[in-house]
Amino acid sequence: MGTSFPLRQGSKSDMTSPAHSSRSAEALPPFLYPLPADTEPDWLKDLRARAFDIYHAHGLPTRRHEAWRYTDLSFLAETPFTPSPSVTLDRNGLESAEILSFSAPRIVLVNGHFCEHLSNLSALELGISIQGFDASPPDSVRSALERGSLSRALDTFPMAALNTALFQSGLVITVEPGVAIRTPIHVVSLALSSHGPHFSVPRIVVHLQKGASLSLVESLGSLGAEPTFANSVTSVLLDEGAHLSTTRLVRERPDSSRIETTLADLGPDARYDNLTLVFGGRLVRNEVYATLNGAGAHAEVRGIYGARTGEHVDNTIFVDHVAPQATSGQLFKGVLGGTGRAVFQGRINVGRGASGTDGQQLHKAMLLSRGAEVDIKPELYIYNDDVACSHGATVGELDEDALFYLQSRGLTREVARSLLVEAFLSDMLEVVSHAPLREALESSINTWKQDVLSAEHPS
Amino acid sequence: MALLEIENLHASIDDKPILKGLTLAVEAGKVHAIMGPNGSGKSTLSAVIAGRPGYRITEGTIRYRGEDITGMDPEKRAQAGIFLSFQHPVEIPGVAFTTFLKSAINAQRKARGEGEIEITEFLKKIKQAARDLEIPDAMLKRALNTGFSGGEKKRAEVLQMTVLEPTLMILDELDSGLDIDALRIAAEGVNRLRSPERGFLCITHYQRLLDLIVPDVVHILVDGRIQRTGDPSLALELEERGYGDFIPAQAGQ
Repeated sequence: MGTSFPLRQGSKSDMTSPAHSSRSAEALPPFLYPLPADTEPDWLKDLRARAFDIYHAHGLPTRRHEAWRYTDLSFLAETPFTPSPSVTLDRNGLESAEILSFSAPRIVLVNGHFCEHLSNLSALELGISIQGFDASPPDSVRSALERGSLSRALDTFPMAALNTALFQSGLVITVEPGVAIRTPIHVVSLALSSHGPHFSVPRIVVHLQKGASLSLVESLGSLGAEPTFANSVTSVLLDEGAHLSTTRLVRERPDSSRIETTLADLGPDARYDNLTLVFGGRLVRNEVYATLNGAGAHAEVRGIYGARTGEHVDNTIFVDHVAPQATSGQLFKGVLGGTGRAVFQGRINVGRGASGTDGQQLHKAMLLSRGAEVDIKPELYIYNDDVACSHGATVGELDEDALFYLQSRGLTREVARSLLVEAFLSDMLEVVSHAPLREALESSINTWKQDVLSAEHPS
Repeated sequence: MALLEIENLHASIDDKPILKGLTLAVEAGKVHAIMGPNGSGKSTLSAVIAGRPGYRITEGTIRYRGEDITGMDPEKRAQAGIFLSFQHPVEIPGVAFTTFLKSAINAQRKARGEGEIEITEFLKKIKQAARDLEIPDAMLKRALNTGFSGGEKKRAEVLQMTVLEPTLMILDELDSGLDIDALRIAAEGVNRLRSPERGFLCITHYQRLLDLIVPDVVHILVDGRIQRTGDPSLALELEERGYGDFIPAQAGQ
């Protein structure tokens, strides 16, 4: 591999040309351009060539693919997306985005490009390195990208393969061995449409070395008048005893979409907490693949989401227990209104060597209207006898008895509904220990909740 | 004019008639007891006064302070001063008891055109009521009715009633699920609220509650209608003889 790395015209200069004209006659699948320059190091060329082949063979996933049965991407291929140009954003532009508001060192990426003038890294602690890249990733990411499980994952995740074949800009965050970073780091990654609909392929690489710990907060969203499509990948590499906590808010504009793939590899006794909130967007898929490669590793993948009319939220989680004595939890809660659609696919894989595994999974959805719909697919694949695994799913409506009880005390039906939705989600934020962050998340949920409830029952 | 006037009320649930021409008046300053066997319509009566959805009123009216409230939203009735103490208070995890109670007070104040309650005044009220009802502070911090014992739930109902200061109180089987000590505490809480402006409708199976909350008037409810009205001695008579004598001929068949 590598020798056949496909080179095509127009990788840089044609970036703003219409989607269809820059494709060659042999009809590449959608979005597979522009390709990076041929000047990259061999290891990266090899990786990109393999990723290219995977996506090329697979194409944009359709509902015939098992992992995409409930999520239809065909509208993406029908929208005239072009690759996002390197654009900049001023401070007013940033303020118009619905990002988390709390005080922390901040890195802003627009279409994957690092915006130094909007970022504030003056308060960084010692032992953490944050590096934006804008042409090709630095060699320091090689171990993360080549790590067996993360590289093999491309076979299973065609959209991550697409990102790997194309990405040229993004962010690398590294924490040195034994360093505990106390202040959360806020990464704002926005998709911006400037001249028609744009797609972008940002890549973030997070590597925590032995015993390091970090709390990462991400605000993901979109700006501009036209649709955007972000096909973003975060690679997470956690060495022995490292602990990464990721708290992520996705708030896309109504015509914007995002496929956010997280590929995480956990070493011995490493811990990965991922809490993803999705509130808004035509289509948002939060796909998390965590490989527990070291004994005693723990992955906690959680999510809160809301879906209204015109919105589709897909959480697809795959926890792969490879090493023994590792534990994992998946906990998701969603609220659907109007004709909102949601998908939860949760998979726990327990390999032959993964004795002593404990894997739990729970998904709860609340439907506020009869037109809303949620598809749930839990999957357990267990190849070891010494395991404790469970999964559960509930779909319910607002409890009429509880509503009447609250109304009988003088609360209006609207306030009663709002209280019950809040109560349904209330335990999910308990894991967020940083108070200003928790308040910012609560405020985002409240804004969404008021919108969805007033849409259900306009007063 | 009585505080509550119910006239020829017919109510059904899933097309099954439960109340079949019930007529009743509750005066301000009085405690009215309603006694009746299972299935006589006691809980339906309390539900339709409070405005619970799911019941169909096919005939008759409910008037509160002269106003027809038959089709009114439950929150409007609460805002007007009607309080239902639930037989089975609903557990609502995730809603903190104190936060809920403050929202309820403010919703009622807002409906009366008043501003929000001062936090110090609210805390003073709730703490005083909790002390009187022997409710520990820790319980106030928990989620609404969640994990409360039967006795705690009923005392929490009386606490809400004390703090919300309603005018008409409907006590739906306040005594169910209570041991004698808890019942005494809850009943004392109710008695503290008795005043010339307030009326009570006390629904129960048993005389023992009426030993503690002594009624002014006793009604016997059988087969969806008030069969007899009398003074407190009627409850004692019932205790001795049972409901047999009050079952109308056609319903007893």
